[in-house]
Amino acid sequence: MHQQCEGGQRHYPFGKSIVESKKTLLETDSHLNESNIFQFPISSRTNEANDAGIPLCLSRPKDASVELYTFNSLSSTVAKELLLLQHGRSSEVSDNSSVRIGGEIFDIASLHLSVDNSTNTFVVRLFTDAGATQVEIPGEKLRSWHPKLGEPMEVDTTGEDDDSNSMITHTSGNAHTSGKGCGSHDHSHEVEKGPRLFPCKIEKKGRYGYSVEFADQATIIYSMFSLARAAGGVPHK
Amino acid sequence: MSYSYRLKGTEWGELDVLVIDMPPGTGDVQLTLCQDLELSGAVTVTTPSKLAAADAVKGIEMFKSLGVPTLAMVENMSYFDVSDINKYAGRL
Repeated sequence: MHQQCEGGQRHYPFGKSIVESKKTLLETDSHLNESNIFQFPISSRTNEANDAGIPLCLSRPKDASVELYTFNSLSSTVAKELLLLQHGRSSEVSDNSSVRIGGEIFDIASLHLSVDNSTNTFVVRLFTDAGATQVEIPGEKLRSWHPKLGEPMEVDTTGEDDDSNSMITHTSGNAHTSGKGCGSHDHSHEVEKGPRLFPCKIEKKGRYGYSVEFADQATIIYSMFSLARAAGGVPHK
Repeated sequence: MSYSYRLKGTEWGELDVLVIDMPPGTGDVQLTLCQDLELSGAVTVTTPSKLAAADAVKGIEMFKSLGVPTLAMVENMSYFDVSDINKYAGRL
């Protein structure tokens, strides 16, 4: 059996799921729009370029205009988006990307966390083009803060689970726990007083936030948003 | 060799852009890299398969929760243009 096919016709041998993907992406608040979605064809020219070990963008065969145009559009869009992100478009990408402290608005991507050894406190610094602000946070306060959502947690000793456990890891070994069981759960809820909450180690975790290892060896990863909220920041839309 | 070891143990020289091709899905590699590096952005690649597209959407959501914006989405093997009937027509 032969398939009748007129020249110039477009076929979708694997379906048109991109239509559903677009709909889903728009519904899930991904901030992608149709101009950021690119469709590459099944192409013998691309395959031949791969086999030859020369990328299509370098070999640039004359009959691959569609593929090259799509590549060019993709690279232009990526470059444009990166440029926009560097100049403050991050507030459009994430809902919780900026906070207001004392009348000033700060991009939480600029947040820097350190420790003041003289006062045993955390130091949060936020920057703008015009200046910066610095807020000191006691260890007890940060420990009582939800590491992801940036909301104060109620002291809970009943041992019930909540979402915060997903962001907490506890280093096993000679940890000095509070005496109310062991494991990460108790560390996330019990707010102790004193030098045991002084942090041992702070490590940046990409763009997400900071990992804080306390003196009692509990390690908690705080999101940038949570740290900004702990510093007194109010979410700014 | 892990991605992080290779990235940090290589003398890359002066780079304008470093593109990292990650394996499919939302696994340990993606999570580790997002925490070890400050990625500027992500480009998600999928195929017309519904399962692949659903995974891509999950990936975009994961990157967003880790503070990495998705800059663009690519669908490979999206369509096939029949421009030369004599070349492509054949027995099915």
